[in-house]
Amino acid sequence: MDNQLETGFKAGRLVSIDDLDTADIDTLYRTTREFIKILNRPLKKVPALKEITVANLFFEDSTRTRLSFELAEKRLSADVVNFSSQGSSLKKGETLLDTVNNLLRMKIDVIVVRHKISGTAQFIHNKTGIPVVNAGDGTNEHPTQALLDLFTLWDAGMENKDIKICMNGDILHSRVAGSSLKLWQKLGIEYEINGPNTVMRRHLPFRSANFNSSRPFTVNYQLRIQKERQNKELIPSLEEYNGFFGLNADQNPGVAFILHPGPINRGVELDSDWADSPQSLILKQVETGVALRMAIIYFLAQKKGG
Amino acid sequence: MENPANHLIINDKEIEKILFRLSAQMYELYKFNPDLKILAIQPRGFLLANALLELLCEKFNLDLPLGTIDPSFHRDDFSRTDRLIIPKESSVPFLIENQPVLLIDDVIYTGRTTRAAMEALFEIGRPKWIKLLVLINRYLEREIPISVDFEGFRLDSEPGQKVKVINNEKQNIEVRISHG
Repeated sequence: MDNQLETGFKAGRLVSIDDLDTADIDTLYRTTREFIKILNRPLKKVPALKEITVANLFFEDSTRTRLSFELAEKRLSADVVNFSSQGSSLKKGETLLDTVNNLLRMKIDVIVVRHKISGTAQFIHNKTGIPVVNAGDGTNEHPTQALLDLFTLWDAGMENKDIKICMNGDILHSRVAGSSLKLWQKLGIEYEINGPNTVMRRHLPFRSANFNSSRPFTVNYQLRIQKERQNKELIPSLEEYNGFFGLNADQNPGVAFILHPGPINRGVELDSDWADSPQSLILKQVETGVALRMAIIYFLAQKKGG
Repeated sequence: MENPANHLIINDKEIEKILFRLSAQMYELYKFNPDLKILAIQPRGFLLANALLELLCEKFNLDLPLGTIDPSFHRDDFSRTDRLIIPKESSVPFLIENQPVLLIDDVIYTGRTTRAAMEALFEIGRPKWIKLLVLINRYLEREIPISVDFEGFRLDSEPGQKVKVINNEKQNIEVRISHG
């Protein structure tokens, strides 16, 4: 099945920010607000997906993203099965597609996938036509993280303000950067990306087209150092990285808010003084993540594209 | 020129009278139940509920808050409709636990939306009782046993017809019917 020309929830996938148009993002954020209300009630569930089964396929280690998706699915009353490559038949030589096809025979309706190879989520969707959510593919994209980061900022009161984001860190290996830059460009958000030259994406402009150097930054986005994705030493030392690109206790970035996708390497990307400061939205990002993922799965599970 | 597939069945003058009667009935209900909570079923009950609350304020000097309840997450046609279900805002600015609740919708047809709205309501609290007010009661096509407590107009419509309660160009409510 080839749905590549379709966008929006009717495309039946969220593998890239490219899959959503601005109207979808607006709908997604409105619905996320409704789910936040539900998550703050004593009864935190709705029966919307009681006839749906979701498989979380995590071929890479993950704690918060996997738990966030699983909670989102359970809050929607979906049946959930979790798969991790540890101890699976992949170790016995089974291909990814064989694994997925076996799962489909068990009547799975939606797949959430994380994999170290870029393009895996798209591959599964193309081969099966099943609704797929990309929970991170290699160094390509992590669209739910980018969407929840921006929602967190808007929810913190920045929705109708001209935000200006400074993203610091390992841009090259960051799939969060891959999705965030697409999202910010789509919505005309002003940004600049910074990092060691060895881990920048050279084909991308470092600043948005509407960058205005006379305006101060309102948001600092500190990316995690991707130690597991660097196959050679690209950063001389973490101390030096911290000195140039980290947020230190003795610096004041002068921004309203600080974001980080987690997990934090304290003392590398940012010191505890900033991680635990009133400007830090890091735990709020985690909290919003469940509601936003509920909204995404709610729309994709409707399977209107098939 | 009027679209023949989109007939006006109740004009704004007639609706004005019906709304006045319904608002008077709401006032009577309120007099015996001063804790009464008003909730509009999203999306289309909101227009009617707003008009009724304005009348209550204007004619009876009674200013009641309005809440909204969205039935989307409780619908029974999640995988059966071709249309993408997009939820609307649920906003309940008062406690409903052990309170009398009046649900308002523009049209009741199969009754499934009302059921879904009540399910959504039960997840917020346990009302003392729930009564239902609708402008148009398509009473011949009920698919589940739900009855109406206050109705504006009882309509002998047929399955497949679409009944719309809309604001006309003068921003007055009128009712139109179309086939298919």
